[in-house]
Amino acid sequence: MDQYQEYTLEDFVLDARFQGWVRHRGAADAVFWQQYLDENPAQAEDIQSARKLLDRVYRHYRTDIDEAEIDLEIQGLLERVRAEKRQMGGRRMEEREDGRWEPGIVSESGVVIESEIESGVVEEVGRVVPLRRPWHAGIWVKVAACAVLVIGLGWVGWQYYCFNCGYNGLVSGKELVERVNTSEKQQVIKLTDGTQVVLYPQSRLSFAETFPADQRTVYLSGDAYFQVAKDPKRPFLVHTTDLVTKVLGTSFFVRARDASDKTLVEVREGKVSVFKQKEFAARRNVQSKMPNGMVLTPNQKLIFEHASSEMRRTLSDNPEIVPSDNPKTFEFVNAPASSVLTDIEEAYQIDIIFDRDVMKGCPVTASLAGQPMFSKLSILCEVIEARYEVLDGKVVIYSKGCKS
Amino acid sequence: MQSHPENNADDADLWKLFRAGDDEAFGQIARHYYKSLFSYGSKFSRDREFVKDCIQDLFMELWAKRETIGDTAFVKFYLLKSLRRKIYRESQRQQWISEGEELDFSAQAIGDASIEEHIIEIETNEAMLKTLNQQINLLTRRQQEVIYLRFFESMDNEAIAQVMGISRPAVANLLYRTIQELKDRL
Repeated sequence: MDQYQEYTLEDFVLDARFQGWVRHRGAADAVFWQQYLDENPAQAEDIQSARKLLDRVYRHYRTDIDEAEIDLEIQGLLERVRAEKRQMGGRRMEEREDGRWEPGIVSESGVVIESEIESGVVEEVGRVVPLRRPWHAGIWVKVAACAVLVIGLGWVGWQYYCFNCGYNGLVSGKELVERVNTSEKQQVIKLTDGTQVVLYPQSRLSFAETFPADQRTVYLSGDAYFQVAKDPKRPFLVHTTDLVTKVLGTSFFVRARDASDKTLVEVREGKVSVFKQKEFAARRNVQSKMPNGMVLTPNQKLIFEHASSEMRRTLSDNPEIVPSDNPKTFEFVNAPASSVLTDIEEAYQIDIIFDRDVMKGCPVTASLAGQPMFSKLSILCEVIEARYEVLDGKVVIYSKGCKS
Repeated sequence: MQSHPENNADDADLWKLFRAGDDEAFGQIARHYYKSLFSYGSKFSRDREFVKDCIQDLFMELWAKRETIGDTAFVKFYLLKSLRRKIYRESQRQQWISEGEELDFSAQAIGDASIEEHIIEIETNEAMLKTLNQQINLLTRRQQEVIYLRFFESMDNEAIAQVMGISRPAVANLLYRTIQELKDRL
C-alpha cells in the first residue's frame, strides 16, 4: 500500500486498481480501499474527489449492449468462420479424393447442411428479434441479471475471493477447529500446547483439536499475534495464503488478510523462518531440499507482495526493546558513537553496520532513554553528522568520521 | 502497455488453438473482446448495426490472418486500433465524413437512454446527471477519447498514442489538461 502514500487526485484517477474499484465496485477492492482510507485519513479528500470524477466519466460513457446481443453476434461470426472453413475443406477434399477421409466428409457435410439453414436464420434473428422482443421480456432479463449480481457480490464479499483459494483452500478437507473473531475487540485464544494467540477482529484461525507429536500447524486469515510455547521437538507452523512461518518458540505477528495484496510477518522475540506457501508445499510433495526460507530475528519484518511474489525483509515500523536481564540505560556522557550503536544493537537485537574505527572518534553526550529506536538513531546521526538507512532488515550507518 | 491479466496461461492455450484453426477458441477470444470493442466503436457512430458490422469484419480479418499473427500481448490494443481505422474508412466510403476530417468521438446518442439508464436517472439526481453530461461534452473529441482509453481500457500513454495516431507527449498533455478541467468542474 506504500505506493499510494504520495498519491494525489491525479495519480488516483490514473491508477488501474483505483479505476477498477470505482468502475466494477468489487467486494475485494472495496475492502482494500476502505482499509486504505481508514489508515490514511489525510488522503480522504483526494480519494473522494478522484472517485467522483471517475464515476462521472464511467456513467457518461456507459455502453448499452446486453450479453444476449453479444452472443448473437458471436454466433453469427462463428457461422461465417465455419462457412469459410467448409469452403477451404471442400476444396481440399476435391483435391484429395481419398476414401479414408470418408467419416470426415460425412460429418463435415452434415454440418454443412445444418449450418447453412442456421446461418440464414441467424442473419434474420440477429437483426430482427431484439426489436420484436416484447418489452417486458427485456426488463425481466435485466431484473434477473441484477438479482444474480447482488447475490453474487454479497457472497464474494463474505468469502473475499473464492471458495477454494487462500485460506479456504488451505483448511478444506481437514479436521480442524475454527475460531472466528467477528467482534470489534481482540480475542485471546489458548492452544493446547500452551501457545497464546491474540486474534484480531475479522480474522479466523483454524487448528487441530490436539496437535500431532511431530508438529503444531495452524491456519490464519487476517491478523494475529502469536506467543508460541517452547517445544523444540514440535515446530510451530502458521500457514497463510502466501507464506508459511516456522518457529520453535517465540513471539511474532502475522498479517494475512485475504483481501490484501500483502502478507506481513513481524518478530518480537526469538527467530522464525518464513517460506513461500508454494515452495513449502512443493518440498513436502517431492522430498526435495529445504526451500529457500528467510530468517527473521527480533524487530524484523517481512513483507510478501502478492503481485511480484517476492519476500522483502525490513525493520518493524517501531522496534521494541527485547526483554533482557541487564537493560541499557541509554544515558551517554562523552561516549564513543560506536558504543551507543552497540547498545542499540543489543537492546533491540538488530544488526547495525558501521565502521567501528571511524565511529570511535565521535564522542556523544545524549539522553536517549524513552525514545523510539528510530529517533535514537536520528538523534545520534545528527550529533555525529552521519545518516542511516534500513537495508534488508539491517541498519547501515554512513559517516565520514568526526573532525574533532 | 499495462499488465494484462487476461494474458495468462489459459489465454495462451486458447490463442494457440485459434491459430491452429479452432473456431470454438476463436469464438471465445472474440467474446472476450467484444464488449470493449463495441463500447469503443459506438462512441464514433450512433448506428449500432454499423458498429457491429465493422466488428464482424474486423474479426473475419483476424481469422484470415490467424497463422501470421505473432505477438498476443497486445491483442486488445491491436483490435481497438484496427477498429478505429475500419470505422474511419467505412465512414469515408459511405461519405459520412470527407477526406481529412477526423472521427467524432462523442457521436454517441445521449438523448435516447435505455431502460436501465432511466432507472439510474430516477435514482440519482436527474439534473446532476445532465450537467455532468454537458461538462464532459465540453471537452474536445480528442480529450474525450484519451480519457476513455485511459479510464475504460487502462491503456498507457504509449498505447493510446498508437491507437489515436498522435505523439506520446501529446497524449500526456491532453490527459493532464483533461483531468484538470474535470477536476475544476467537480
